[in-house]
Amino acid sequence: MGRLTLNEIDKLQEAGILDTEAVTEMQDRGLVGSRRRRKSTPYMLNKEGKKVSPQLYFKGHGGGEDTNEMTTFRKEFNELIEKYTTLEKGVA
Amino acid sequence: MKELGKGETYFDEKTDGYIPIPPGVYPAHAKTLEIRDRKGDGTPFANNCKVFDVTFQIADEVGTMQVPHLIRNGDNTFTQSSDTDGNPSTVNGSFLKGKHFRSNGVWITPNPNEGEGWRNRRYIEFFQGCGVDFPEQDGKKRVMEVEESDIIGMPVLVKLVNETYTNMEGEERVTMKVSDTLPWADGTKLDAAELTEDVPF
Repeated sequence: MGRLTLNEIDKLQEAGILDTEAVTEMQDRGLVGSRRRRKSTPYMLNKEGKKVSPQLYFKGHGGGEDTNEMTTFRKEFNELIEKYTTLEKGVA
Repeated sequence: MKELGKGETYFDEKTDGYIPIPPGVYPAHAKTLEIRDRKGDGTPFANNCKVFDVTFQIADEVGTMQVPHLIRNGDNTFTQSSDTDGNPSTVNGSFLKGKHFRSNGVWITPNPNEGEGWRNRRYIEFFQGCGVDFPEQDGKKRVMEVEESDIIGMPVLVKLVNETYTNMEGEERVTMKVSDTLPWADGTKLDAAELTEDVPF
């Protein structure tokens, strides 16, 4: 079976084609990707005015499969990123 | 020119013109299944292999989706259009309702050689995505030949992708194919009769 990206899942859920239960079931079966790709890099400024980009990293996770808690954690982390950072293309 | 009769008839390029189909994931139902066991010249495929071609019909529910509005570039490729503020434009997905798309050929290999069981991986994954449950024995899936009755009318999420091919004249062409399938848990199975073409009268 293929896998859906989080963006694809969002679109199907917004359109009412999949409900939360169906999405959870697909996540449990490993049919949904766990990472959202950004087209640009979020940054904030440190005290020296240098652009820094916050990162989330599960040390030791390697190629392991995410739990639903990890997916939720990542989602909330992304919400914090949206709240506190600015997007700029080409910033590494 | 003369008037067409009572009332006025208009053609609006925005709503009535050609709308390119954007690649993406759409709700659909399996409509037909064709199974081939021979090449074009009539000779059988090696090792009794068969190819399964499934046609999917995009479901009415696509009308609840907003999909990227594509416009043609000068080089015949497509790009998503933008509104006056520079935001990506979308259109309602209703124009996709009832459209048919074929899968890439899915191969089944009966009795694969030792270490070549992977040859049936795509077959199993593709049809599991169509809602087929293969029986399991000792933790292994038993590879069985899917029949029309197993999949016709099944609700499926299909991933549409652009596929490039070269035609008989050597020209490069692009067509849309179903590359992957996923179970559509909230979809409803349709009777085969609901998927047949309307008969013209």
